[in-house]
Amino acid sequence: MTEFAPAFSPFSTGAHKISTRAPAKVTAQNLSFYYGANKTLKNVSLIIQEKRVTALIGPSGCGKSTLLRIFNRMYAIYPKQRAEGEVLLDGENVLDPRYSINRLRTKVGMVFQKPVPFPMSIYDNVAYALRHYETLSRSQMDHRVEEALKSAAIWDEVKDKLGRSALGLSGGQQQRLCVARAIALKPEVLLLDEPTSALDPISTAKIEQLIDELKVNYTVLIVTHNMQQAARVSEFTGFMFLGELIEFGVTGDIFTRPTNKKTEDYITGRFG
Amino acid sequence: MSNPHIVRAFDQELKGLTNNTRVLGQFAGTQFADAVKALLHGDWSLAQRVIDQDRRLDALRTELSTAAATVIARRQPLATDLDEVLATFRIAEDLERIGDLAKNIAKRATAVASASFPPDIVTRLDRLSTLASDHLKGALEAYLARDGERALIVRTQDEMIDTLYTEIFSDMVSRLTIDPSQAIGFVHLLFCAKNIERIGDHATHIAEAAYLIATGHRPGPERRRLDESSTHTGSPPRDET
Repeated sequence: MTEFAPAFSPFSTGAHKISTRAPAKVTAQNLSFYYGANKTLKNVSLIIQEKRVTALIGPSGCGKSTLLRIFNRMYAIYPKQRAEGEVLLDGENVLDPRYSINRLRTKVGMVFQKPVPFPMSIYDNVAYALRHYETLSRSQMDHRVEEALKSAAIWDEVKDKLGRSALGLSGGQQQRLCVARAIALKPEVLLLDEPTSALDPISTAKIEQLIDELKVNYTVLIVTHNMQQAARVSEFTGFMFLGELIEFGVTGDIFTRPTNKKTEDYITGRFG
Repeated sequence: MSNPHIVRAFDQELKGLTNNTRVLGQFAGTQFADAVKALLHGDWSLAQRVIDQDRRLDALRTELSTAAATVIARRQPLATDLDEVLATFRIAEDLERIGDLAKNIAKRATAVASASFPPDIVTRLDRLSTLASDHLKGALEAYLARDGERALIVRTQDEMIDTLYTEIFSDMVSRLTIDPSQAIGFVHLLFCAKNIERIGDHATHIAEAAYLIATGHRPGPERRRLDESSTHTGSPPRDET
């Protein structure tokens, strides 16, 4: 009679909000990154747990988006950019040139800050990567497109206009379409780079609800400027500053009892 | 009933606050009932149990307040959501005070465990505690049901508690002067009666918080306070002269 409902755990004891420790899905080890001669990431190591949401916060230019983009080797198209160290995805180093970048991109999906639907129909936006990577019949393709749009919580809004241009959707809908596009290939990891910073509050809420649903099946890494968002959606948070990972831990602990003064100063708005 | 939030976790957190307030309220109510039972039946071990369990009630209150603070930090609630979360703070504080007052009654119960009191005093204290207990129960039910009308009715019932407490106060003061040998026991009972009256006041605060959540407005006008003990001069009540 005197026990509180176990489903609700206070934020300040965030450690016990996560009832079980999940296995490591992605592990960054001694990761450094260079834009030409400029070293912008300095020896970053962290573990992203499977089917959890991990947030990266920090002031502009701290390296959080740079870090994010290493996980799917986005930098590979730029000759003057390089990474050192290892990123292990299920134990395999994805930075190894022998690890197929196409294979990597099927396992790690990405959604960017600005919604960037392809200039084609809603259906084709989702089907595009599927056509590239898989051989599916028409009905199988229809099913996968529908599944992706449902998982991105946009199916009901677009099911009667799949043939229409994706550019006609609102900003929030376009972003959810981009999520559908990212998950169409059933990746294992989703990288979200400030996915709601260009959206209105209602669309933001819909994306946050979507993240809550997606983490059942996907490992999510989200970069966000919005600390309250990080506190709402993630189980783990890393604070970065000047290319270094200053502090990493359970979200509840980071936002109530950070151990590093820089973290405390940033989250309380004393610098940044 | 308002629409659910787009982010379902927000609704779950608010529901969690309500559920845990209910649990805390039940616990405080049980502590109060047990303390009065210990007092009126001379049950020392029950009194000790109430005293020991107060720590747990305090800990639950802290947990609830922390959870409410978390909701504010994460969700930045506005409008009715903000009223709801702020009400959790208020109600948690009132319930903790009720727990403290119950503990105080239990402590005094251990002091008077071997004493025997006139049956009419026991009856009136029992009546007072029943009124206060029903008052608390009604306030919590109004809060859980978001029932503004019920909350207003409960609020007015505090007058009965105040009136009965004033009668008990006058009676005790008279008996003290008549039979000083029982002074210690009567003084303890007087404090207990006051604690029960204060529990009634806290229950009224809870009813007022319930009204605010249900309607978005504070109840008005200022409620009548019929506890006249603070102005009692020791003279017999006017209707007895």
